Amino acid sequence: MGKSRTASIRRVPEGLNRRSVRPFSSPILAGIKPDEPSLILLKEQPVGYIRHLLEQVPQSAAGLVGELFPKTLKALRLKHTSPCSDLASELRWLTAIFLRHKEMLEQWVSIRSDFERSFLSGDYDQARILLAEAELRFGKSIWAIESSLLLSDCSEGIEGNRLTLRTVTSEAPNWIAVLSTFLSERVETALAPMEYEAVVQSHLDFNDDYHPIARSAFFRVSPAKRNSITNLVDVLNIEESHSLCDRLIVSTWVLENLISQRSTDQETESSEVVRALVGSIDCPRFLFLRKVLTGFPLGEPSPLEQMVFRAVHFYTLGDYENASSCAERAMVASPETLEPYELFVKSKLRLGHVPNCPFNQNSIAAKICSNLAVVFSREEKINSALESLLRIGYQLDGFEIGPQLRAFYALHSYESNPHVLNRDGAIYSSIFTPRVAVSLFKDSSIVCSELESMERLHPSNAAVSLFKANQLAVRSNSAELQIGLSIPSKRLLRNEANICEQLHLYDAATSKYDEVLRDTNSTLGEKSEAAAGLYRCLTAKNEISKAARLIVETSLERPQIIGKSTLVELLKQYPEGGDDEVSSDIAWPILQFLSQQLEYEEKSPSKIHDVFEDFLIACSCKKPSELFEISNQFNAREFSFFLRNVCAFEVLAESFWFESQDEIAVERISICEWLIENDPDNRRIDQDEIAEISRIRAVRELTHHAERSRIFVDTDAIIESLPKTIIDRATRCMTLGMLKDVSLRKTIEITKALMEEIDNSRIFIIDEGFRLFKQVFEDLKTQFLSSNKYGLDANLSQRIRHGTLAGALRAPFESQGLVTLKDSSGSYMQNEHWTRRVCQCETDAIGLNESLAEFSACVDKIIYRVRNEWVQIRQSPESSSALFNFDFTEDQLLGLYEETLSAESPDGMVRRVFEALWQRTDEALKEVRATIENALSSELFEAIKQSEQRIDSVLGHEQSMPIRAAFTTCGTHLTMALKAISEWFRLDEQKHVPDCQLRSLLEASTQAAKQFCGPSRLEISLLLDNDVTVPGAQFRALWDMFFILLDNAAKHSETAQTNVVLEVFASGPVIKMVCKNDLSSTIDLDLLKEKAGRLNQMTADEHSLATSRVEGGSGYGKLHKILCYEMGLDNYRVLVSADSNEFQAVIELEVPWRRQ
Amino acid sequence: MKILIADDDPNKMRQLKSFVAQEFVDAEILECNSFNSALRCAMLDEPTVILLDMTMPTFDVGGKETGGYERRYAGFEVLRRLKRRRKARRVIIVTQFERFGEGADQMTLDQLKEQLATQYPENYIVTVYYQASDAQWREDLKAALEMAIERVVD
Repeated sequence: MGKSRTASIRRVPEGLNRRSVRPFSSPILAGIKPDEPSLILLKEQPVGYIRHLLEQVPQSAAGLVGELFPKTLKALRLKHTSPCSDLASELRWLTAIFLRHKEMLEQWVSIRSDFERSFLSGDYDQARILLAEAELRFGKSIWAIESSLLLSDCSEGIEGNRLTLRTVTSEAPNWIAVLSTFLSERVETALAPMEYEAVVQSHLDFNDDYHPIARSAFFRVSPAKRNSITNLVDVLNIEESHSLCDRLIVSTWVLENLISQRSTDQETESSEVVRALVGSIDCPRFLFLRKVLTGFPLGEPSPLEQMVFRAVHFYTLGDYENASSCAERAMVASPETLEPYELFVKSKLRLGHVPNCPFNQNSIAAKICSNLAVVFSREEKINSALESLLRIGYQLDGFEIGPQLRAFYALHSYESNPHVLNRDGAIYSSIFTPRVAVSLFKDSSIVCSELESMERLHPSNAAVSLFKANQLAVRSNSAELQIGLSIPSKRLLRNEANICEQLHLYDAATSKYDEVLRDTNSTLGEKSEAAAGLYRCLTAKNEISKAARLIVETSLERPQIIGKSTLVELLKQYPEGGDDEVSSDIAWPILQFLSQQLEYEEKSPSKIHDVFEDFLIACSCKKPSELFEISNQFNAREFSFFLRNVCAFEVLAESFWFESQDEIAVERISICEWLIENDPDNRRIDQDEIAEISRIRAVRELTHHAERSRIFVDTDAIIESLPKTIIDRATRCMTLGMLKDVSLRKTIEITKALMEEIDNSRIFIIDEGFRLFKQVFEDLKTQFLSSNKYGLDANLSQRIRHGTLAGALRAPFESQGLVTLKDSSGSYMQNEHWTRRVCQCETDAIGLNESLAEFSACVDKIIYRVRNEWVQIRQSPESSSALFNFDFTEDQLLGLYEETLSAESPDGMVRRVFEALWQRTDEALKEVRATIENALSSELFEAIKQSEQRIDSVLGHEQSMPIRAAFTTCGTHLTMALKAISEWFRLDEQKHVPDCQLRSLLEASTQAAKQFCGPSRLEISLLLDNDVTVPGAQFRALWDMFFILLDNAAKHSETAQTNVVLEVFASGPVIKMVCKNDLSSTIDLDLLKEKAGRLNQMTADEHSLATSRVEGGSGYGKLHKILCYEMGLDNYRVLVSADSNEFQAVIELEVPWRRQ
Repeated sequence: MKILIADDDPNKMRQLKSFVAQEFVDAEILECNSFNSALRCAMLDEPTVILLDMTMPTFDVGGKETGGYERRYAGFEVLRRLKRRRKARRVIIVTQFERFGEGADQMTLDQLKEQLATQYPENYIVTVYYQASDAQWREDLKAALEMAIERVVD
C-alpha cells in the first residue's frame, strides 16, 4: 500500500463541534421529530455530531432512526423516508447509528457467525436455537426471515419453506411479504439461479432509473444485479425501515458494490465517509473491507487467518499432508468461509485422497466439498458441480460464503485453473491472502507493499515469499525466481512460465508450459493451467493454427482440461468464411464441437456446420463419408472423434448435400460402419447407433405406409366367403352368355305387374343373361361396399372416419391454439391461450372468445360434414354429397356384362366385376382427393379469413397481429395437412409393406395416436418385453388395433390429458396387449362397468360387426373385425375392465406366424 | 435470368410462380420448398434473384420425408450462408407474417427488415409483405424484382 493510503487514514474524521449552532438540534433534543428539510440537513452533518445528538435524543424521538430492534413483523413496514440526494450523507448517518449501537451490532455479528457455522455443518437444531436467540435479542429482521426460510427448506423441503412463508406473509406488511416471497424462492433447493433471476427480472423489471422501492427490492433479492446498481442512495434510505442488523447487511453490500465499481486502486470520492463506516464496528467483514478500502493494517492475525496462512505455506512447499490438516482445522473452526475448503480439497487431491468432508455427509458443507473436488479434479461433471455451487451460493446469499461461492462459479466456469482471482472473488474473500492482494490491486508497487506487510505478520511463509518473488521478478524484468525456499520444481516451473509470459518472453514461456503439459505426473489442474498459458503465448505470437492443434491434442484426453476462456478465445480467432490453410486442420471442427459440448457456448449445429463445411471443402469433399479414402491423412483418434461426434445428425442436417432425413441416416450408418471397422474399441457405441437409426427409419417407413394409403377391400376374402347362390347365378349367367345364338338368351321379363294383369300388359323380351348379371353385380357390389368383415364402408369407418379424420383436420388449428373444445353444456370453452396473450381488458376477452368460439364451431361443422356426408358411400340420390359414387348406368352395366362374358369361369366373372368396382373406387378416390384439396381447402380458408377479419375488428390491427400470424402459420400447416389427408385416399398397397419389428410398429402407431386422437391429449408409456418380427401383411391390422385402443382412451377418459400405459408381451405364438388409461373422477363408473360387461360379451358376430361401420361407438366391433377377419385369428380374447380410476383393455391373441 | 422461389406454402408458391411467369416472361423459374433445397439451389444453380420465405421446414416434404424441424428463421440462415460463401445473389424476402418468433426472440416486420438490411447489405434487397387477399404484394414484388435486377446490372 502506498504512502498516500496510509497517510489518509491518519486524518481525524470531522467530529463534534460543540460550538456549532445547528438550528434543528434543539427540537430534536426536545423530543420533536424534525421535518424533512431538517432531517436532510442533519444527515449532512459530521458523523461525530450526529452520533452525539443521537446519544442525547430522548426516547420520545426514537423514531428519528426508525425501529432498530423491531418486536413484531408489522413494525417492519415500509416508511416514507425523505430521499437524500447524496450517498455520503446516507453513509454518515448510517455510521453514526452503527457507532451508537456498536456493542449490540458486534454481538449480533457473533451470533450470526455461530448460526452460519451450525447451519453449514448440518446441525439444524442448534441453528434454530441460535436464530430464536437472535430474534429475541435483536428483534425481527429480514435476515431472520430469510434464515428461517432457509432452515425450513433445507430441513423440511419445499413444504417447510412454504409453511414458513405462509406464516410470515400472514403477519408481515406488504413490503416484507413481497421480499419474503422472493427470498423463499431464492433459498429453494430446487430452483436454478438463472431461473430465479428470470423470475425477479420479470417481476421487478430491473432498470437503474426504476422506482426507488423496486430498485431497493432488486438490490436485496437479486445477487446477480446487486453490483450493477449505481444509485445506492435510495437503497440506503429505504433501509431505514429495517432493523439494525439488516442495515449492517445492506451497508456491507453497498461497500462491496462501491469497490466493485471502482475503476482504479485509488479511493472513491466518498472515501472519507466510507472509511468512517468500515471503521465503525469491528466485525470480520468490515475488517476485511477496511483493509481493501483503506489499507488499514489488520493487526494481529485472527486464528482463522493464521490457520489459512499455514495451510497455504505447506501447500506451496508441497507438504500436502500438513496443508490438508491445517485447512481441515480451519474449515471445522470456520465453515462459513470458502478459503479453507479450497485448500483442503486441493491438498487431498494432491495426495490422491478422496476429500472426505469432516462434517455430516448431508450437510451443505459436505456438498460444497464434494462439488469442489469435481471442479478441481476437472471431472466430466464439472459443469454440473459448478451449477451446484452456484445454487448453494444463491441459497446462502446472506452468508459470508454465499458471494464467495458465486465468485468461485464465475471464475471457474470461465477460467480453467485461475492463477489470480476475479475482482469479485477478491472482494468477497474472508482472508487477505497473497492471492487476494495480487488479484485486487493493479499497481505492482501496492501489491509488493501489501506482500511485505503480510511477510511481517507471517514471517517465512512460503506462499507470501513465492508471490513476492514473482512480483519482484516481473518488476526487475528477470525470468528467474529468486527464492531461497525448497519449493517443488513443478510449482517453480509454472511460476516461471507465468513470469516469462508477463515479460512477453513467449518462447521461453511456451517451452516451460509445454514441459508441464507433457509431464505425465502433472495433475489435470496443472495441465489445464499449462494449456491455457500455452494458448495465450501462441496467440500472442499469432500462431493460431499451432494453438488449435495443441488444444485439440490436449483436449481429446479430457476435454474439461481446456478452460472456457481458452477455447472461446481461440475459436474467435477462426477466420470468417474459412481459409483453406487454416480450415484443412480437423482440429477446428472438433474444437467448435467441444466448446458446445462443454457448454462454453450455446448449442448451435449451424455454427459447428460452418467449420465442418470449411474443413470438407478444404479436403475437396462434400460428405464426411468421402473422407474415408483419405483417412490416413488424419490422426486416427481425431478422425474417429470427428466422425463420431462432429458429424452428428443435426450437423449433417445443415448440409445441403443431404436432401432428406433418410439420406442423412444412410450417411450416419456408413460412418458407424467405418468406425466399427477402424475404431473397434468403441464398436458398441457405433453398433447401438446403427440399431437406433434403423429403428427410427423403420418407424418413419411404417408411418409413411400407414399415412399414405388407407383404402382397402379384401376381395380375396370376399370371394372365398361368397354365398353359393351368387356363384350359381354367375355360373348360369355365363352359361347363357356362352350361347352363340343371341336370341336364345332372350326371355320374357316376368314382373309383378305382368302377372297381375297378364292380358292387358305388354310383354317385354329381355336378355336373361344380362338380368342375371345385374343381380350378380348388385350382390358383389353389396359385398364390396358393405361387407362388415371386408367391405369398403367398414374400412372407411375403421381407418378414416373413426377419430382420425377429425383429429387430422383439427390438428393445424389446435397446434396454434385457435380452436377449443366444447364443455359439458355444449358451449365452446374459453380460449385461454390467446386471451392471455393478446387481450388487454375484459371487453377484448369477451369479443375474442366469441369470435374464436364461432370459428371453432365453423371448423367443427365443416369437419362433421366431411366425415358424415362426404366420406360416405352414395347409397341413394338423397345422399348426393357422398363422394364414393357406385351408381352404374344401364349402359355401363351392359358394357361390363359383355366384357365379363369373355371370362373363362364364373370366378373370372366375379373378379372382373371387382376390377370394375376397384376402378370406380379409384375414380371416387381421385374425386375425394380433389375435393379435399380444393373445396374443403377453400371452405376452411374462407373460415380462417372471416375469423381473422372479425378478430381484427374486435382487437384492432396492431393488437391482433400475433393471432393473425398464428392464422397464417395455421394456413401453411393446413395446406400440408390437407395434402397428407388426401393421400389417405389411395388404394392400400399392403403387399408392399415389408416385415417390421413390433417395437417400431408400436412406436409409429402411438406417434400417430398422439397426433390425431382427441379430445384428451395422450401421454403414452410404452412397455415391450420382447421384440418380434411382424409380417408386412399383418402390419395394417395391428396398427389399426393399437390405434383403436388409444383412440378410445382419448375419447372416453373425460380428462384433459390421459396417461396411457401400453404393455405388450410376446411369448411364443401368444401376444398379449394391456392398455391401461386413467379416468376422470367425474365419470359414471357404474355405467362404465356395465358397458365393459357388454363389451366382454361381444364376439365377431354379425351384430358386433355391424358396429364396425358406425362412428361414435367404442370401436370394439372394429377390433373383432380386425382380429377375426383381417388377421384371420380363431384364437383370441378381448377383455375390458374398469375400476375407480383406471380403464383396462386386454387383448390376447395367438398368431399363426409365430407358431414354429 | 434465373429466379428462385423458395416457399413451403403451396398456395403462396402458386401465386408467386404465376406472377413471376406473367411479369418476367423470359425468366427461368426455379422452385424449392424447404430450407435445404433453397440453400442448395441458391449455392449451386446460380439464381440471379431469390424470392425467399422466412419460415420453412428443413427438407422438402414428400414421400417418407416429413420435413424435419421447422426453421423459424430459415430465410435468415440462407442469407447468412450466402454471405459466408460470398455469393452474389439478390434476395427478396416474401413473408406472410407481420411478427416473427416468440418471447425474447420476437421481432416485428420492421425490425426484421432493419436487421436484414444491416446484416446482409450485399445480398438483401427488400422485404415484401404477402397477403393472398390483397393485391398490393404484386406491386411491391414487381418493384422489388425490378430493384434487384437493376442492382445486378449495376
